[in-house]
Amino acid sequence: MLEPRCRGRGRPRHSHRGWRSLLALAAIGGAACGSSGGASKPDAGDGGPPPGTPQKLLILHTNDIHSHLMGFAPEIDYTPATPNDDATVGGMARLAAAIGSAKMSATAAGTPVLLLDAGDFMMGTLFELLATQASPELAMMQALGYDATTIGNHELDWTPHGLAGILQAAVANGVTIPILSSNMNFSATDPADDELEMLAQGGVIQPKLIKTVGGLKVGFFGLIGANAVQVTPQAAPLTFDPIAVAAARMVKELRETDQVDLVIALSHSGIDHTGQGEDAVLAAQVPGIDVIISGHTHDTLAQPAQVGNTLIVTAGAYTAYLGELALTVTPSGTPGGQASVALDGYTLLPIDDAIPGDPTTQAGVDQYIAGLDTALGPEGLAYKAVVATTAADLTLPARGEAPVGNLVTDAYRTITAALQPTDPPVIAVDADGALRAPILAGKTGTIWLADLFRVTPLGIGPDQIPGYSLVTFYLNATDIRNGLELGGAPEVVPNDFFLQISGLKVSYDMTKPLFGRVSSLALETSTGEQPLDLTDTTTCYKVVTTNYVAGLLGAVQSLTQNLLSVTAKDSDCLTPVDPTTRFVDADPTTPAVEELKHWQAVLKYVTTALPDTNGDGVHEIPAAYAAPQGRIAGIVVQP
Amino acid sequence: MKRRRLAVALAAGFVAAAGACTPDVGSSRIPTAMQFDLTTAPPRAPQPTALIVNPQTGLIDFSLAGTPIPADCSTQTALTPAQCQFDQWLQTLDGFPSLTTASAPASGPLDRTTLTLGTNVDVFACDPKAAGGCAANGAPVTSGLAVDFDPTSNSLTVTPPGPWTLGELYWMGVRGYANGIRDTAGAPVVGSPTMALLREDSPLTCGATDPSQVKPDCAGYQVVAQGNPMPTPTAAAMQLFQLEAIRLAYLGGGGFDAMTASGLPKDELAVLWGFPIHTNSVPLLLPGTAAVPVVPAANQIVVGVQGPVDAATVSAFVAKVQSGPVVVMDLTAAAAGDLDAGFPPLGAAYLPTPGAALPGAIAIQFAAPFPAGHEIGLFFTNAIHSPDGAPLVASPVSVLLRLTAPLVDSAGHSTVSGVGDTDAAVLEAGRQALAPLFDNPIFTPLTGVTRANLVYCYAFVPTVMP
Repeated sequence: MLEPRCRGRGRPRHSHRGWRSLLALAAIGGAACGSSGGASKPDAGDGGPPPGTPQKLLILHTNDIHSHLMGFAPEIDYTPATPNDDATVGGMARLAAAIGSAKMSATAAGTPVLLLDAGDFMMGTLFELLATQASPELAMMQALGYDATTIGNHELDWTPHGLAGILQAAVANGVTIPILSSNMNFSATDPADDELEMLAQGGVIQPKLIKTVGGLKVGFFGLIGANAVQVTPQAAPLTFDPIAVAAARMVKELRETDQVDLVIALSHSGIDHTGQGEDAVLAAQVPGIDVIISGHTHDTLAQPAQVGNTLIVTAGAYTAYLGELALTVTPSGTPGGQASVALDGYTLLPIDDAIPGDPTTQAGVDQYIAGLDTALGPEGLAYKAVVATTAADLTLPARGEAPVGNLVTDAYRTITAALQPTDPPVIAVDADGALRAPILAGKTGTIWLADLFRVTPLGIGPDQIPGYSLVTFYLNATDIRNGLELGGAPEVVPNDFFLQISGLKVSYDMTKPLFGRVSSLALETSTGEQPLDLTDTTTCYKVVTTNYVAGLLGAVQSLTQNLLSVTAKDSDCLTPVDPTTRFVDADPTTPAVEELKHWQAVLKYVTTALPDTNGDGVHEIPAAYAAPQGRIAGIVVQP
Repeated sequence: MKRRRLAVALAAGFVAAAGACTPDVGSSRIPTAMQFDLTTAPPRAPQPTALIVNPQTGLIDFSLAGTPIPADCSTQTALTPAQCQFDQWLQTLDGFPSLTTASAPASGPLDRTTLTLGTNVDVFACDPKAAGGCAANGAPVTSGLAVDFDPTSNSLTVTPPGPWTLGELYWMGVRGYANGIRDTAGAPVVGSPTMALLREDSPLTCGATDPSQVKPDCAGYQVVAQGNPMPTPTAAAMQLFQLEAIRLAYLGGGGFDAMTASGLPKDELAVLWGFPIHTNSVPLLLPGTAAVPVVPAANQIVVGVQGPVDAATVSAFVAKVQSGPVVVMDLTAAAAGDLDAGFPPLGAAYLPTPGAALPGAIAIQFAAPFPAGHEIGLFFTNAIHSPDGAPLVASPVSVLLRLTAPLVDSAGHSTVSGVGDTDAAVLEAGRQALAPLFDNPIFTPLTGVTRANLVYCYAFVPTVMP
């Protein structure tokens, strides 16, 4: 049974003025539920060939949709109704058309179709602001005919409480897509996940799914991998079984108890373009999985990776690709026996402007945009509000000084300094994993609010409003060095931990030993550079970042197995503090703390601190942001 | 200070795997014979043997024995995975490990009292690269070596008190017949038919230029063709050509001349074989002997190295500060997830004349005494070189410890030839203890130590110094 959401878990210390209005949006629920771009549901039910007979099966798959209902970028260039006239990729209208086309061809050939997703369908665009009201992502997926999805780490960004609200909204809007999670455990003592647990008890989240497709009995289960869990501290108090343990359990149950012909895992664990990753390890450790639909890395596999008898596929991110896996499945003839699965073909279809978008689906997306505009209106904003212009792209390279990272961290430092003028932060940092998109000039250089939001779209604060909240604390030079050492350790530390910086310069010497590669640090002050003694633990510097990055300070110690650590301190440079609760107050004039979201800081910086040289009311992103500024030097990543 | 070994006690030396393969040509059962039967599996032939050193590459090459080792051991089933991996390592060497026991099998038990070095068992050492041939630039080894009989393998064994000399070629001959060794019944011991053919002064092939041209009346062919089991004519001809190649190798290598120089005439040879020792320097590790580290002080440990070392290539790894091929870990702290405590501050240097019995040594100096009760691990990589730039190579014990495949099978038997079951079990425990380090995602990127470049590993638990 589903409970009504928002049952009195408010946090009275926080004021939700302004952005709280987003949570009381005008009636937009179900805007997309009537769209039909996804064509009909796949063939299902009995009536297929007799057991033991080879059967064709087409599996369409996506992963890491991340709320990308529109094509990108910039979104002003996205014209799904007219193909071959822009360079944008993705978009639900195009995806719907591609799915519909694939299904139509398969149906004509008598081949049943499954449409599956491997999680992280949320977090990434402005549409997530509607999540707890309308759950537009799941509603669109329902309209496109998805058979199942799983829970990724960015669904859990919302915290169990927040995710429960989203799923309740989805149910209220008619979503019935099975959401599979087979390694998630609820706390027996902590009530923070009770709402989500009740949804699981009510069947909204399921450990498995059994579906008869054509003549095949197919069993599905869902997983979230170790890295995805590691980067999601917000998931507490939920815990997760190791994927191999859960998968072995599910395979046994599906094979022996449910006697399925085919086992498919929806695994938000990941595989990279070389075929390496948690899902490859999973396939090696747990025989009996026929197909793994993998997500999390945002990487692509041009062809399925085969590990043992398991085929693994993954399809990038952001609706930029649709995977089409064509199989011939020959059931063993023995109930529960492992079928023989032959790969007939695989296409990783780019979703781009070569595909005319499905107008009905786009109409549904447009309704959500209208709903957002209604909500954003009181703030003087709109989805397509022009917030800036740029003459050049602000790129987001992997593990290196990123122009867009410079903009974002400058925004954190500048806006926080304005709010805390007596003790302004001198350093701002954010992690590459939280920076999700470059800013592209496109045809016109026009940047919508939607484009800017996609740069820093992740997270949620204690106020339950989307967006990570900015926090401040103090670090000494050794702490700063230790945190930056992760960026110089590509052998062992994922790119997501690479830090972009403002107010600081760092040089790396990659010839030095691992975790000893930061060769110099210097503060950038109004009077020039001030070198820091890397061993100085007596002087501290105020740092602003997001509560997410602050929450990962402990990862420095765990990732380096205690070789390095970072301890957030109070202004006395001695007293350890919990950095995740030291919120920047967006409105210091009121007694309550109003969390300043990272995307709000970026928006405010772009719309107030950047120049408007032509006086047209639209600020320009300066050319200085078009390229690295020498803040981070010496990084070399061996291929 | 007492020391406990992680990878301890190879009571016996290591025997390089697999000798050359040529057919046994009808060895008689009576009287007792020194065997040279290359058709059995495993071969009953002296080992190690220079016959599997590829003259083109200068490296050990098992394909010369008809048993090529694949690059990927998972693709073969003829050998155990551990044996395959060990043989892969042997094939990287230009000679056999210096801690190798030489052996020659016999068809029956031998009288130990007749196995006298310098008279009945002659050893001649020479520099194979010197001009003039082996006999002209070498010398007999008449003392120091232990000659014995191993009843388990029914083999005569020759063991040096320490390592064989690097880069040397050793020829070994056993005097048989009336003036030589005896079996336990007191009867003379003879050579095998194979050895009889190898002693021939003229070509065995009777002038044939390839096996298809061998005539049935060729004497050598007739001997080979009478083997048991009897080979096909084609196979017999092939075997004859193989033996002729060995005969020429013995002649070219100066084996017979070396024995003559030692006072052992050709017609009294019951068996002759030779083997080179690799040229690369090697850290000494043979648990159960003196070839283990010594601990001169509570914060010092010294590891002997055979062969010259370029002192400039010896330096300590210091976490976060300095790369270096000498890595010392507090394994107890590391196992608890604390790598910061797992790498104590230290320095390392090469001592060319360390004294005692060590030929040269790498000395490790800790900033503080070893933490009592903690297991300390020592690791060297092949970034340590000799002055000519050649990298150190691993000792066989270190190689066995770094293998990915188990050293014992499910029945508890050794999976590597030349390693006894008891030794294998002890080494397997060490191998398993080492595996988590290589599985640790940080260990290799941090230290630079890999399975491939590890040339030395040793662990001990210090106790409080008196």
